Amino acid sequence: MRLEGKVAIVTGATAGMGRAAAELFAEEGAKVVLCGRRESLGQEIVDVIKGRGGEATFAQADVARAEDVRRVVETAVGTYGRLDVLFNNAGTDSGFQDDPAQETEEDWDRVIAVNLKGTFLGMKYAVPEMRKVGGGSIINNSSVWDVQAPLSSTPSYHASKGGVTALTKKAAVVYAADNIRVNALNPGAVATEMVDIPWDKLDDPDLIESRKHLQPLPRMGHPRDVAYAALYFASDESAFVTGATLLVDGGQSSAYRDVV
Amino acid sequence: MRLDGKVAIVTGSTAGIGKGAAVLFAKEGARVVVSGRTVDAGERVVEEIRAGGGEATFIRADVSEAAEVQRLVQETVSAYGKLDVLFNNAGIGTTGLTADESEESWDRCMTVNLKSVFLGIKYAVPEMIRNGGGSIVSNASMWGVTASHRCAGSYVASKAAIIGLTKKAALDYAKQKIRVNCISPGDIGFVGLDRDDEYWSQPDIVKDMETRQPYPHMGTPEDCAYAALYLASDESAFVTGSNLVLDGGMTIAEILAGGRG
Repeated sequence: MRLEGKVAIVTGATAGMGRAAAELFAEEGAKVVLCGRRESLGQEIVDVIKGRGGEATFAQADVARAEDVRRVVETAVGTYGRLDVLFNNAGTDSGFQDDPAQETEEDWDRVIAVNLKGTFLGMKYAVPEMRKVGGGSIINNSSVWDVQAPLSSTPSYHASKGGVTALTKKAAVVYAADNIRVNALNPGAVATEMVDIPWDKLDDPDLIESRKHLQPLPRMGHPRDVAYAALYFASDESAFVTGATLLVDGGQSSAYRDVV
Repeated sequence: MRLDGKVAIVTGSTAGIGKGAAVLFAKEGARVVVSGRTVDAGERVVEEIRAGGGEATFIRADVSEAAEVQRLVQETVSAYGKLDVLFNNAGIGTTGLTADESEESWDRCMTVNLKSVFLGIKYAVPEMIRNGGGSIVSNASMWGVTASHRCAGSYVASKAAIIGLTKKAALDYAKQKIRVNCISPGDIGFVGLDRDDEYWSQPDIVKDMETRQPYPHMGTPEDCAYAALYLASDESAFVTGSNLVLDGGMTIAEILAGGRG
């Protein structure tokens, strides 16, 4: 198993990419701390993982709050003795998709707080624990909107994801000497609650079919696609990879819009 | 196993990164065609794979010749019935200042590093379409992302062009479920035709390699092989047109102290 003996935190693990990663990491032998705001849903997913023979625990947290994130890291170390992997996945979007100058200050602050400050806080509290065990792997979930801009996307979402990638590079350089690797994922159109596709509809062929025009590959991304990319970065198979950004976008950003 | 039932060609797999990938792909269940110009070395890689319980065969080919790449694909399909994965790995290095490079050196590097990738795609795609899809991985370089004093213009240009060609081919064949991606390794220490274990165990060589990038360990062919495995396997089913940089953070770091170049 590719994460045997490792302890991993996955933020935003009650839905979408985070849930898929938490389930996959556990299948690959990691002890997983799932972090999210919805406690009952988090407990349900923990039960699913345990039912399959995996090991997991839930820690309720809003990643925009330092105290919450500190407590999640404490839970991981307190429960499982160490911390090896952090998947900073939690993200939000205000849904305001228009002129950057028109987004409200409240929307802007909330999106930046969850997507960017949440990533900063995750690293802030995880790094000291990773140093204690001689290294670790941090994966930050950015977006294809880090490299492209459509007319309809949230200004704060764009800015936050660009910031996540830049922060990834900075942290990769600084923590390389500690054997802590930091990489980012740039997912494209992936079926998640953020685009109104609930977990139980993920394999609905009509839904997947209806969104196949979004990228050159003739199907929508599945949360599991992103989970596998995160697994690659989390495991020692990527031991020489740090500061990298990986597009998981079905070719979206390789293509000029008119031919998609 | 992650490549169970798949047939893979790895070019330039008589040594180094290609050899690492051939061995790993076979371990993950693929039937592997080891290819290169040196028969003895290729046969030894095949023996190593078979000794480990894997399936492989050697097909000699010079990837700079269209007819040879075409024959490589044909013989692969004859031997194993189909083609799922092509790792365009073969390449050469060139060094020096841009204006000092000879036309012959430029042409040779462009042919072996870049035209070979075009030829590989050209002949693999029809077989992959027949097969209902496939995965093409090409070996670019971090020197295709950022330039170095050491590498010649032809090396930097050929590797940057692989990254562009990867996006174009990814776009063209997405509907046929053929994914096209590349990896961009940084400095990798490997046992090649002119560099043996003894070379890479010299402390000053290791130290030099390890101080080139932020991450304090030298990259290995196995590191590259695992990146290629991820892109070859169905685990990366939604990844196409991507370039995975594995360089210990060298590309993104400001020049470190010392004489890097």
